[in-house]
Amino acid sequence: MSRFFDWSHFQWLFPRLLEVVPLTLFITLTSFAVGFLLAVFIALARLYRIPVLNQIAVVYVSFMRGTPILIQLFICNLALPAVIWGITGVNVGRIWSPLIFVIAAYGLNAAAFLSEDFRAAVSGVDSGQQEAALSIGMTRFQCFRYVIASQAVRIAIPGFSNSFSNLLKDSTLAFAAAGIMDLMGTVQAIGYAKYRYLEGYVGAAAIFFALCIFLEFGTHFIIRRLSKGLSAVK
Amino acid sequence: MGISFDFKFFLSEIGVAFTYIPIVALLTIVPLTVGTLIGGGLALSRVYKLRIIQSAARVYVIITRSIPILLQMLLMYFVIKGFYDYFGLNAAHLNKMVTVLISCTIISAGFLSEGIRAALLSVESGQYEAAYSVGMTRMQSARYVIFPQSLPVAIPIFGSISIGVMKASSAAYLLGVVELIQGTAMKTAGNYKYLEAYCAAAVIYWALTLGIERVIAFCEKRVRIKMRGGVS
Repeated sequence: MSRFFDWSHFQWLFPRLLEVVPLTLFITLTSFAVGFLLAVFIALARLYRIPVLNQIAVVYVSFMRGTPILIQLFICNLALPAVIWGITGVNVGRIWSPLIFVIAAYGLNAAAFLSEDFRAAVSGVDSGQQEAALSIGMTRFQCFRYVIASQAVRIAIPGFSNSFSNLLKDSTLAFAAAGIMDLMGTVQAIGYAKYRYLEGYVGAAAIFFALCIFLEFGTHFIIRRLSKGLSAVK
Repeated sequence: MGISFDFKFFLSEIGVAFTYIPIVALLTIVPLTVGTLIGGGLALSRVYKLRIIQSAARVYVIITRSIPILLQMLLMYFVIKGFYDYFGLNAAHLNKMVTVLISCTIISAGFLSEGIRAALLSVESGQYEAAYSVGMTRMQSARYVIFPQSLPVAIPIFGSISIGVMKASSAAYLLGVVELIQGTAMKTAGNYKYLEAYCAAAVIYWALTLGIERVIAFCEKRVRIKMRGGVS
């Protein structure tokens, strides 16, 4: 019977895992950026109750929040290339990297969660603030830009950070859905090759743990910076 | 060739997915009930500042919340397999469903503990002091004063966590447990109509989420009516 945990294998494997952390972070960051842009539009459609778009946004957000990300990844990987193939006549599934579809899936998912964060933050600003801004002659856009948005950012940060860490953790599914060789993919590949799995899982868990802790400290720092001087005003 | 969608097969897959709802329910309800007990204990230990348990609870929550569920499931599988090997049992008898249930429970306990703690802390501290001042013990104050008042905050949190646990349980598919996604995907053997299968699974999950949301909304309403009927 081989050893339960092979320390020397772990020492060999850990640097190899650290090498692919940038890819995992790249997937997370790009999907977060894609999701962020989409989320702004979704949130605006819902906040300003733009007809038709509002209803579409409601259904979209409900679907994205109501189904597991794993299924969304599967569906995106199957349907997106086929849809693009149908529209443009080019079989992009063969040319483009599967990374694009994975990022699209994560981005579409993150958009739903981030749009709710946005909405909560904007609704979290006291409505008196908007009235005050309009009463001193600001336009609606000015009011949003200088009064609402700047206050909403502080409320939104914890939600964003939460969504980001969820996205980071969900990125473990990219290998299973599309064979991306990110952190989890490398762990599995080394596992298949060496027939030792536990060390890889422990290493990946340690890396995710460290990233999440780092994110949490970063969020604390940003919130502290943004709240500076706030108590003085009150 | 563009997208092809066999609507008939999709409908039959919805029927298949429907029969797997009990498994999803099992994978959600067991972790939630056991997780509520463990998480509630952890949250109480932190709110009442019990010495050693408090710091242990903190570490537990940080670890379970920051490691992805798939990794936790795989790690749990190896830990249990290690136990099997240690006691000389045949690891082939290891039930993956049990592994998944245990890791789902551990994770939901972590999330629930934070949710319950938030709910308990939403009750103002004067209530704790008042309960003590009339001679209640810690347990009594928790049972009769704090719990009932924390319900309006706790219920929506519990709802979102239960939806999260239900969705997270789908990762069991990657461990080879035959649950909703696996069950629908299995029926595609030979015809490669995976898109229809996954869409059917998604529709059922969506319906389940909407169902949970309904139940939670109903509970919230009930609690609010009860609260209004009170002394306040």
